[in-house]
Amino acid sequence: MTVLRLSGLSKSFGAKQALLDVDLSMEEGEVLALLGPTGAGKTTTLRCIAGLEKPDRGSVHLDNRDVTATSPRERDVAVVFEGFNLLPTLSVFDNIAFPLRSPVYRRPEDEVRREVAQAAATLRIGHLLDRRIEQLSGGEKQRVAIARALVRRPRVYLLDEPLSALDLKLRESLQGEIKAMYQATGATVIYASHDYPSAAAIATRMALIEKGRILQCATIGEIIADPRHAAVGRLVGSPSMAQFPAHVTGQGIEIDGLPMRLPGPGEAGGSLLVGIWPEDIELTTRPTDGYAEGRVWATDFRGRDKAIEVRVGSQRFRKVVELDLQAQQGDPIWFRLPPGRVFHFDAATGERIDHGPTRRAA
Amino acid sequence: MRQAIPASRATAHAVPKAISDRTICGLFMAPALAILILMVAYPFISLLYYSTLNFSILNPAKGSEFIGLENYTRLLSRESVWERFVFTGQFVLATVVVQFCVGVAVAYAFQRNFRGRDLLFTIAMLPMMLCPIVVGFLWRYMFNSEWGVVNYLVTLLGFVKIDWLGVPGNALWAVVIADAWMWTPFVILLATAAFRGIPTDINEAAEIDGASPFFRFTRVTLPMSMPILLIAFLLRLIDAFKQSDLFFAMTGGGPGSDTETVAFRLGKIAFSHFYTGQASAFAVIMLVIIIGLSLIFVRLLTQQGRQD
Amino acid sequence: MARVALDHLSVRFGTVAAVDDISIAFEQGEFIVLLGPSGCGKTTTLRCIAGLEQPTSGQIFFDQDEVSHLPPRVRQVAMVFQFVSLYPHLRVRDNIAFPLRARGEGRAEIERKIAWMTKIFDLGDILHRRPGTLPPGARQKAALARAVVREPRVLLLDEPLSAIDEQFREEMRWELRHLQKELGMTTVHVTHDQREAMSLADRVVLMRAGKIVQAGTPRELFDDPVDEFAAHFIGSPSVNLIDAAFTEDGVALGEAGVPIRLPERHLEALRRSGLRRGRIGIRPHSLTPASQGDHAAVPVERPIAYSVGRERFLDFELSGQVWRGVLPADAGISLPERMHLDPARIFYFTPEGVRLPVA
Repeated sequence: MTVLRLSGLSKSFGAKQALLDVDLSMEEGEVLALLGPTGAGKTTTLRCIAGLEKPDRGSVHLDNRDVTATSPRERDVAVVFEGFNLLPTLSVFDNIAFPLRSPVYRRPEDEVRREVAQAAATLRIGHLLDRRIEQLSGGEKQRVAIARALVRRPRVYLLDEPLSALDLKLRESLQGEIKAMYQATGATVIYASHDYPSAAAIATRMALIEKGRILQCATIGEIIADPRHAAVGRLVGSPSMAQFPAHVTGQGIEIDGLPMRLPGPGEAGGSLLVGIWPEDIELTTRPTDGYAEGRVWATDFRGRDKAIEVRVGSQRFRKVVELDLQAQQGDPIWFRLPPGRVFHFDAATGERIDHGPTRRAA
Repeated sequence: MRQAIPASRATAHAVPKAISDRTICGLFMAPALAILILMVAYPFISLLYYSTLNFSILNPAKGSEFIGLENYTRLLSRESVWERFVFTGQFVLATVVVQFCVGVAVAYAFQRNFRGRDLLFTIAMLPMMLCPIVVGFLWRYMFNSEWGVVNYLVTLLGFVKIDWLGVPGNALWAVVIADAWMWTPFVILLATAAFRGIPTDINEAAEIDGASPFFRFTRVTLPMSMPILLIAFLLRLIDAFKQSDLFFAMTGGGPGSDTETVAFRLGKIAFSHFYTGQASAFAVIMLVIIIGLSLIFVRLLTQQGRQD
Repeated sequence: MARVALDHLSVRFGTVAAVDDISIAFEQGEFIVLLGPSGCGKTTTLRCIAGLEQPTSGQIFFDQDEVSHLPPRVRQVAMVFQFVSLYPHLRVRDNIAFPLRARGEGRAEIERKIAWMTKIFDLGDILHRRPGTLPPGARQKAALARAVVREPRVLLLDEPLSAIDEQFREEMRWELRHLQKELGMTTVHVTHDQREAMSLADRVVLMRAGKIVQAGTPRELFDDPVDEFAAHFIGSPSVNLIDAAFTEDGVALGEAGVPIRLPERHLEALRRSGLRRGRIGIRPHSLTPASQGDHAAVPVERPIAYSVGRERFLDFELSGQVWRGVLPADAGISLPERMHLDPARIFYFTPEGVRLPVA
């Protein structure tokens, strides 16, 4: 059943349009990632859902009840913000128990103890309950913050960049735990982040947001097979989609500044953006017919593999390659964009302008 | 599905409608506002009111007569009043310049780590904590032309004894020395705070960049402490402008009334002559000058803030 | 550009040895990353090279010149700090000019060098702005320009990226890597982030408790860690670790004693160690779904599968610990019941965490 529905949500702060016609709906037990760059409207969306912000237009429905005008206390959602918002003078136990002792959600003390213990066990912080917040590490604090949200069993959890303050290793271990926790409790979660890997690791579906607009909302496989907007390509993937400014000539599509022609519409005129997932770009270290020459601008060793950035004039792309590929900084390299693998986007609006090939879902 | 929601959740809807945020803000601010009105606005308005009256507190029975701006015109047309302003200006300029040159230099010296630094720093702060009248008498004895320690030192150096407090030109400098002695610690304190506020990284970066200590002081330390030093400057300026105790203790305003500052004269009008109305007008003039000075500095500070 | 050599360098603060007798040389033009957890001595080492910290004993050389006790001012090093690395009261161009003016260079020379930096770092838009008005990424770029402009003998970077928002950090990493190679400057970079170290370094120097644990190319550290600490510190997702009993024909993992059969070569190495117990480690990417009859496999309990882009991971419990492996992208919905350990990629450790070599 539909737990949460946003329709036509708009909000502006002064001259800045923070949200524009945001539509979103979530089923019970779903984990949705709200992925977008800083300032895209992620936090504003969450704040509207939580009732901390009043939308200018549009509505918020929780369990088919219109809550647009109600106060945060009457909504039964829990928010975990970036940073911890823990009470430093209280123990871990008291912090987690805090919502259960508030006037709105008050429970008997033995029930509080049971619930806290259970939440703490899920997040593996049972041994920390007597500690004070200031004695905890960053990762432990973040778990306490999540446990505090968990203990209340609200209808919807709103997580606003809950992991971005942590370092990579900790983030990766917590991702798994957060995921396990939601699977265990069947909770409905919105996870706002600018970080594609962590969003992809946690979510079942992704809503991509930029400049206050939802660009696409789909599973990762669907997004990769059928990205609806150039900005979607830039947000998804690691590295993200390669995009090349190009223009349409009578003979096809020519990538600006490259001796590379792709099939396209018959008549000339107009510029566009050619996008391709880096995995689909074909590379070789020897001059080859039909390949364009570029230069390795920089390399990035990643452990099992490496990423390289290739530049030709103002065109550039990044791609993960085998460790053994001879590609040091400054080396020449040849590449080709298989015509069946590219997407076309409007150069001005970023919208997809044709439906490219159907691709396998990842 | 409403039945599926546990009871605890249902209570959420029973919460009484809260008071609006605006009302709460207002309620929180009310006491502070009330105190502010009582403590600042009321005295100021009554001061303005008295300054338009021909009134003496010695003789309240005589009543008060509204005379408009006459107190002001009478004051400002008197040459002796203008002379007091000029004298005060000289004093303020001299003492503040001395305090800052010495204060900033000493504070910079205190940046280095040396044995006994903290003790020395505490001792250096002492003069500021003394009562101005005490300081005044202390220095009055030291500047005594016959048996004061200052003239003893002067004769040791082979000079003729100086009449420190009997000649207006000398008396000005004698009081400047006493005032600077008392208030330089304040400048040291604020300058030290300002210097310590500069991140170590910045100083280390400058050192690595190859900057000599002097280059570092003029190009990094000073400009970065400017906001705090400006505040200290303003405070010292206003305070020096209001100085009267030291003159009272050291020269009594003499010889004649040649070393009376504006504040000293104000005190005389108010509490020797008991021209309450005129004194109020005088006080308003001083206040306007001080507010003017403050505005200049606030302006400077906000400009600086905006550039960053 | 200089070759930098540290010879038996030690720094003691009271009774604590922040840097404990380290000797290593950094070649001219090399990008060195000092990596380690906080308190491992990496920053103190860097500050010794800068001259901000005095070695208690040992020597530092730039080429043939001993600089151990010279003040920072005369060492001709440049340094970028983690947080406040620009003078806040100066515009970007005056910041870049600062070290040149401090050395009394001529006006024309300064203009020429500012122009040079503007071109390399693409600073045209921000040249006349103050640091406070710039985003952190641009600020660190300007700080880097200020460091590079005086053509130092060594470029020192003290966690320059860690205060930058994660989104820009990756971009800065690419820029830094490219520029360092472009300028060919001997660079010593300090970080606690292994991802950053792997990405940037020609050679990583992994430190712990004031000592060098391992120094080598990122690939050497990843494929061939000297001990359990190095194996755990490098790589993400982290290496899977578990206690193991060394048995007749393999190892038994965890308290449950899950048996793994090993090739003879490995068994011999374990036997030679004379140990009965130890620990093993394996990186997630060497842990894949097992086929029927696989003897180097572990059972999968409480599995959770998830995708990151086109990669799929499987978290599962092994004897009470969470292990992570990988699934092929086209594996479908059903999860494997057993996961295979690639024997060639298993690390063996003594109970103290020292790596046991396998011939």
